[in-house]
Amino acid sequence: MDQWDYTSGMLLPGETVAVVQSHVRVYNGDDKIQAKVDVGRATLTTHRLLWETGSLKTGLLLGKVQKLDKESKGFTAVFSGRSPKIIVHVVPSQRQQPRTADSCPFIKEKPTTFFKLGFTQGGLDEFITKFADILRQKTWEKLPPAEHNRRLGILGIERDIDDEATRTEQKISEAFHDLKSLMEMAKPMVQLAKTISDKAAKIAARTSEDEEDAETVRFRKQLLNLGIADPVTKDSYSSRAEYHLHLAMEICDTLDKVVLDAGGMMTLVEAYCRINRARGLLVISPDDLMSACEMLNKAPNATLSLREFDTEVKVLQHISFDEDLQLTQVLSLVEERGSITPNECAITTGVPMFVVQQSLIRAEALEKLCRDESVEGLRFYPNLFLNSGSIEAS
Amino acid sequence: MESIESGSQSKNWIEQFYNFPPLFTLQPNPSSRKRQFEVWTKLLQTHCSKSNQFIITRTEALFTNNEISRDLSEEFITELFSYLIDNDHGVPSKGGGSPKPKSKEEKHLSGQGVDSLIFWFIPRERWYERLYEYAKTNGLQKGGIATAFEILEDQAFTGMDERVLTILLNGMMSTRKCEVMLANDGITIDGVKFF
Repeated sequence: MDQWDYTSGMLLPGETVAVVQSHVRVYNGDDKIQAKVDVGRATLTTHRLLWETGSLKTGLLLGKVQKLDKESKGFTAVFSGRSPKIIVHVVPSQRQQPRTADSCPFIKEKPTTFFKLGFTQGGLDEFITKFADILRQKTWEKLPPAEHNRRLGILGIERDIDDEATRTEQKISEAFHDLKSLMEMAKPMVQLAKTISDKAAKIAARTSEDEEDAETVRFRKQLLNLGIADPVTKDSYSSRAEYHLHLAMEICDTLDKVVLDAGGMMTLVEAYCRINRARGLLVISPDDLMSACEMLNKAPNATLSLREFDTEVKVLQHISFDEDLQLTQVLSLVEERGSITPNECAITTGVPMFVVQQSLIRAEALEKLCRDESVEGLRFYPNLFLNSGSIEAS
Repeated sequence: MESIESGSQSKNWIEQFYNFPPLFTLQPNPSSRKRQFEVWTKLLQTHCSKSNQFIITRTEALFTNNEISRDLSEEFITELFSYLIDNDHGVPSKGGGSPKPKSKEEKHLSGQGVDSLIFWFIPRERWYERLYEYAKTNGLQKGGIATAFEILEDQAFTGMDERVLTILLNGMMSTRKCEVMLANDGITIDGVKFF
């Protein structure tokens, strides 16, 4: 029984109580212990088995427990009224020096490799189940309940602070390690995405246009908008102008397809959202975007340019954007339908409402269309005023 | 609609335009707008000549097309009146019936504040001709005198009232074909002397 220690009755850090059972008798080996009171309260925690009587508080670290057994009730036990028992096998004591009475509660007992717990008032089944569970989990190994050495004085406080700092640093480096591994993961992910997008493109090419699965198209579009592999950052350039120029080039590369899909024009607000979405975490400010867009004319091979409308709305315009083509398209649509709202027009052509509206207003200025403003909203009609034969003739 | 279905050839384009929603919206494009007012003039002429209607108010029935749920805005009517006045298709006839003096032309829009308009559904010159025609048929062209009442009795001037006649005769004086004889109040016309 020299594996047992005195305890303070306090729980160790990280230790929780699993089950408590009173009126438990402790046996050393098969014999009763040589103490006045041999019945006490047994408490099983995640780290220790505690046993206390009125005058004695002892505990056994669970690391010393080898295995559990339930004492088989002999035929006599039923009649003799003996209490059911758990046999706890422990590792033999490995201490070099014999223990003194100061540190060992059961100094008088002869060394054995097991002891028994007798449950005089029941509770054995619950106790042994929990006990086995805890032995399996080995919680004490994960969080060794080492008694914290309290440091005193200013030096102690300083050391505590140092310790704290070291711990924080360790946490941070761990976190960054996670990020690194995430970034390592990102590469295969990007590759995977590329493969899928290629596949989608192939499928799209194979199936004829009207058969093309709308979902595939959308998926492909989303993939194409995946992001920028290596965003331009302020730190990499010495001057703001250079930074903005490179940002402008990046905008060209990234938004080229998007602007084309949007009908050749895109408002700066949308461009701002798009570019920042593509950049992920390294977002840019609206001012940076504005400055970059102003640099677009200086960027080599720029496919986009900044254009300001009479209404002071600024847009990115694709180099291939043909106003007249758009105009013809819109006009033929008006002719086909008799009249059109900017919204209908936008839906039919797939071009953003803003761009379509500009075209419609331009057509109106060119005397091709005229407008009908009512409670139902704005509608454009073919200009019958100027294109329907002279009034005098009729 | 019925009232403006006059000439059979013109019926088509009138119908076409009267049910054309943009006709009821002030067109921002200047040439479109000019043409739009021309259409409105033509519409009003057709409509008024049918019923010999000389006065057009802001609540003119023609200005509301229930069939397509459109009507003219106040702003539009002001613009339209301005156009009609500026192009000598009509004169303002506010309040007591005396036309507003032309000196008030520094006003931004001549149709501003005009509630009703004397509208020439046939050009003013044609009215002068008709008046002189009347004088000839009654043998008055050589200094004969007719009263306003007598003229208004004639079938050629159905729907015309004294107010309109006064404006016409005052205008006709400049062509030296007639002379107006005013009553003591200086406004009412006692008689007209034709030359």
